[in-house]
Amino acid sequence: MITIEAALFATLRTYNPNGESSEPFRVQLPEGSTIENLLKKLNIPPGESKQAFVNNRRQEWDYILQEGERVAIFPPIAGG
Amino acid sequence: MQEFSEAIKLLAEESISPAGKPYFTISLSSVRSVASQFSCSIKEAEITALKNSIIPERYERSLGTVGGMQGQILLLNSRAAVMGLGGLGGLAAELLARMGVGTLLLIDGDSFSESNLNRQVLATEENLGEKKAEVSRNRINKVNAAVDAIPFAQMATEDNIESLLDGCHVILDCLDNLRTRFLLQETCKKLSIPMIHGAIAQFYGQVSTILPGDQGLNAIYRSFEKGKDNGIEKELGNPATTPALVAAWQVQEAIKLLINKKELLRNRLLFIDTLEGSCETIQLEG
Repeated sequence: MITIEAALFATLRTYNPNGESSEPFRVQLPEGSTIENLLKKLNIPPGESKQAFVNNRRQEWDYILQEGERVAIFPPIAGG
Repeated sequence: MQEFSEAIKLLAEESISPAGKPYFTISLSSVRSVASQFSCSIKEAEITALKNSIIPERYERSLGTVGGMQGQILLLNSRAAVMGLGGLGGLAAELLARMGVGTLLLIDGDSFSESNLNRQVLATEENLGEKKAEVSRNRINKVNAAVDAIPFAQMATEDNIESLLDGCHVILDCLDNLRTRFLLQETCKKLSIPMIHGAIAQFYGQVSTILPGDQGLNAIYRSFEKGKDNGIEKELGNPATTPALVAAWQVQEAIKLLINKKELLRNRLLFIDTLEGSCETIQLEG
């Protein structure tokens, strides 16, 4: 197992298992887990618009997470 | 030229700043009268005053922020474009004009509609149906006649965007769709012009300063597909407040860039959450 730190921002805060907040929280995942696996574990529906940054770098869903990494998930916003 | 400077010096008056420092100032009516007497623009008269250490009164409170008279001269000699004149751009254009950015290109093909009234400062019950670019030009002319406000009341497209933006020192991305935002970024890279990205949705906003060649939008938005817009604002809308917040921050970045401040939001995305009351700064790939 690996432990990562996740944080959910803006409209996605509602999926924080510790209550609606953007405070980071720890998640345990099997080794080799991807961002997609993390989203599933957090019950974030596939239809929800989102993008993920791992250690401040945007990554795609098939990115394999490593022990201790920080994952921030934001909704895309594009209005003017 | 000598005669022009002398005429300006004669119209200068001594004044005392709120901090108690004496300085020479020139009023708006004196600037107008000397510009008309010498058949030159208000902008030329203001620049000549500043070069002679005379502060046009209208900029007196800005000088501490813009780096004094030299900074104000830089702003008056600058050319900025505002792409999109909705919630973000309508306010951004006015703030740039108040700071004395000398030439403003105002780009938007849309006209005002009722659903704009909740958040777009230029929209009024009287001007519904009027072109945003023209309303913005008229507003800027009333706020600061030193500014050359140039309206372009058509949508920017692949065919016109390069010729439109060539020669600008900075461009504010106040657009409302990803397709044009990416087209703008591509054009800015080609023309070597910095752009200030701003976007909003509901309680949220974001700002980033993108220099030519930076990853910029590619580092911010996931798997962008041409023509497919996927911001959450489509569902959640935008209130009056977040556009004002983000437009102000974009203008501050533009001013900093124009006066050569180094502390820019470059390769960083400022994400503002007014619901939770927090700001996050995400490092982006250069």
